[in-house]
Amino acid sequence: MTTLHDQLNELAGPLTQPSPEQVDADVARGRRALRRRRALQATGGSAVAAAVLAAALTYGTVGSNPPVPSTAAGSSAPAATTPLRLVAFQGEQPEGYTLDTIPDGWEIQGVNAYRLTLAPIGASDQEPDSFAGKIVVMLQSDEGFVPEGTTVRAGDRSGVLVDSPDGLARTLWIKHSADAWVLVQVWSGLGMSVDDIADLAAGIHVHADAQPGHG
Amino acid sequence: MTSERDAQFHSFVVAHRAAMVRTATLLTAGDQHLAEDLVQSTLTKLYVAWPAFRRAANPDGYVRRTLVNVLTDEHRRGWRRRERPVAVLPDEPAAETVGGELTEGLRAALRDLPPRMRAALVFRYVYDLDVAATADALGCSEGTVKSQTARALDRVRAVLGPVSSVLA
Repeated sequence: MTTLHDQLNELAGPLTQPSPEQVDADVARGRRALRRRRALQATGGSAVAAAVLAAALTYGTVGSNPPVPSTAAGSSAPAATTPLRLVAFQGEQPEGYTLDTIPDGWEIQGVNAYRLTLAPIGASDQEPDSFAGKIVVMLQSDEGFVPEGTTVRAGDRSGVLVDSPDGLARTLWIKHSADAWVLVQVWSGLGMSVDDIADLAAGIHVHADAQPGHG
Repeated sequence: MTSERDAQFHSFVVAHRAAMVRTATLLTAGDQHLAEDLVQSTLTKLYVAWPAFRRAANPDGYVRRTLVNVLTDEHRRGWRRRERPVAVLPDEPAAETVGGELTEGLRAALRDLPPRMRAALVFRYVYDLDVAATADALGCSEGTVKSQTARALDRVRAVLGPVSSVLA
């Protein structure tokens, strides 16, 4: 009697070596995919985040309210000449996260299962899905992408700091679990050094109820 | 070659592509067009995640897991229903099939299985993976592998009859 193993092997077909053209095409497809992924990543880590960022840059706000055009820098962005200083976070901890520190004079502007937005107290831009001039923390599902940038130590964790090609933001990627990264995106011009970003990220703890974005 | 990644990936493709096509052919129930698409998509994902793949403790397991993920994703997107335009009509439709009557029956039986159940059968009975390694490839529990494999065998037997004592 022919075994199932034999039949499956027959169905699988012969072991045919690929042609040089096939191999070259595989490499070319990989390169194109990597370029696309890096372009997306540089603007926030996912297609969703990229879309949100694009909207934020263009309109200043996104969400249920009609978008209102604003300047690209965002009206709430503080002057770059004043470095931010991290202080102990004293307020009520947001659902899904625990913060050890926060920039002095800043507050939690909004939090949901997908992102945590930090902004200056009394910022004119009160839309938490607008990230210009702010700091946003997100979970990003790990879909095999490996961020490439500067390796940064954030407490007892290692991260990778990625600059967006347009220079608008820096994003620190820290592995959260086997399935997800924590992304801390800091808008340019906030006066935060790499050490500041690492210190802030080291004090951000993401709980199990936060939801990763996919992109 | 423009980078170390390209060079390493090129070598990997030369060494492993043929075996991946065979696995993909089984995972797609003998559809060689779909198998080629599956391999291309899997290789692209591997290239993008190349540093992580290189660090993987079990590279074979990583490849199997990626193949299954691509298969599942594409199945959800209705891959099997996608039309495939061709430049010319094929002269011999049967030329792309492999094997004889027995294999054709097996192909039909596999086609009727959900993709992950099919994958469980392939990994257990072609590659002789144990339950734990199959569970790793499928991203599920060992119990799920056992139940999926048993159901797959029942359904294959229903189509083919008693295929072999090695299945007991």
